[in-house]
Amino acid sequence: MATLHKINERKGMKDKITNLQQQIDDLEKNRAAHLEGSNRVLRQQVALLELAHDAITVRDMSAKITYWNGGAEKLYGWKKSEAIGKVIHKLLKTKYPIPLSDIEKTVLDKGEWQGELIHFTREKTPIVVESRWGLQRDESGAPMAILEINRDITDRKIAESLTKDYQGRLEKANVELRDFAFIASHDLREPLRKLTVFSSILEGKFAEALGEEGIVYVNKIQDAAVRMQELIDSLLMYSRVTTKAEPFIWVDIGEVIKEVVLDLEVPIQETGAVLEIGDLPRIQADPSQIRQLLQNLIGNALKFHRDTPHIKIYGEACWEASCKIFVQDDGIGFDESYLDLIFQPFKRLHGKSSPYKGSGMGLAICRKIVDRHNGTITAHSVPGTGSTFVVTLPLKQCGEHEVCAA
Amino acid sequence: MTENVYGPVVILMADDDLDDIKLVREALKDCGCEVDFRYVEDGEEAIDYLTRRGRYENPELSPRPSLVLLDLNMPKKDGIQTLQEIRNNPEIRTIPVVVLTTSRDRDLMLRIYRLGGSAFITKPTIYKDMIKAMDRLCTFWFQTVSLPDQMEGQRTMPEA
Repeated sequence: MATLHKINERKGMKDKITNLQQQIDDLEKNRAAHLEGSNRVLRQQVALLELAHDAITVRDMSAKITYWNGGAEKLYGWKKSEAIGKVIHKLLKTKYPIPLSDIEKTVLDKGEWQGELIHFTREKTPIVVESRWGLQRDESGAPMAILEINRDITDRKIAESLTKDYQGRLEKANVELRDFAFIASHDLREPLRKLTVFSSILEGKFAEALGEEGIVYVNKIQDAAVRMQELIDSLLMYSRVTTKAEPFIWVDIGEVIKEVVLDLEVPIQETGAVLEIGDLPRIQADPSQIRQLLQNLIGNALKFHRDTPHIKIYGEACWEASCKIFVQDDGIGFDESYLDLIFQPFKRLHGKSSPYKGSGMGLAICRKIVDRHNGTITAHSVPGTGSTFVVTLPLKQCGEHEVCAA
Repeated sequence: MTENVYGPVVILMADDDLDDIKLVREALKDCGCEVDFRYVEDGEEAIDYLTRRGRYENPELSPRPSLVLLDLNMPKKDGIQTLQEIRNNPEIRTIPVVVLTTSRDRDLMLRIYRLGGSAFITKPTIYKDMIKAMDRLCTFWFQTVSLPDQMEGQRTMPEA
């Protein structure tokens, strides 16, 4: 009985041991599988490092290369077998932005450094790289290796310097253009003034000698000179939209209209015009330019009239951060197929002999002002019925001279 | 002849445009303002005249002006530089300088006044207006105003 019991006990033990053995085997299998997995991950990672576009290198503390990935081969043209064991700075003829000893000190103190370096490829081509250095320490904490990851930014650098170059040239061209328009308008005045002043002497002191017909010709000279003066003045005004630009501030359009109406008092009285002024917004703008804009538009409404002009000036509720301002008249109107033309400098729809005088610059100046305010200007018109000019302006300005609130 | 304690009043005009020199001289005559009219053709010469340098050494031949008419756009030394030099020189800084120029630029006008310009006149484009301007200029500076050179002249005159 006892023996049977012992046998049973021993069998149970054996089973237990087998069981344990099984468990250990399983564990080992698992571990092997796990290790295999880890190794696979590691191999994949190394392969990824090889594939990386960036040049990845590792060097020991004597600067000798111990690792050189595919990216480095591609970037510098040196094969792994050629690079390993070489001193990295000599191989790449590195040019540093600060002394190498300073960079090395930073790496030792802080464990990392980054900056821009110039390297030379195997073909002796200089390249600019964005370089990141990291320090690896051994178990005792002593510096062991330096990891260096370099990204080729040569193209970006060239693009940057080209952009800078173009910007500089564009600015210079703009300044030259502005100066040209300004100087031209100033210098053109000089001979013109001579024409007027000397012909006025002819008209005054030499009237008798000239006779009636002579005076007619002198008057023609004077008229032409006055007209040229007007053209130059408006050209100067046109160039001043950019040369005399003031910062954008909050402007109450309704207040500006009041000033404009005062300025236009004479033509308003002469034509007996009726002005209807609706609600107008507050926007960010160059106040003197907005005044000029509205003065030109209302001035046109007064000029191109049929009977007593009725002029409506009103704004439309601001939406999508922009506002519309309307200047509507019941004047002679124009054919809308000329819409593009009327905003161009010196373009006029009426001949010199027509009663509608002008330099042809008024609406061109309007468009230039609206452009500077990042807005648009257009018009609707029916000949013989009237015109409506529509100016769309942003509520807030975020361009040059910005005052953009958060 | 309009006179002060020295004798005839001298106007010095600095302008490189001989047409304008002629116009101003004629207009002065036509408005009946008889002055000793002198001119120079650039700012450098104006300073030479005022400080009696070079060929302007002799005070008898180049008398000190009571008023300077100054153009702005001149070769060598422009009007602004000339005005600055006049105002920085203790010997000549009290001489009134009237800027007579083509420009109507408001910023420029302000700049001239800030630099100590006495007046700013835009050159008239009609001869009648030129006569009017010269007439008023003479009436104001030589008949209404007590000019500093008279005070300076009296102070430095030997006692009788």
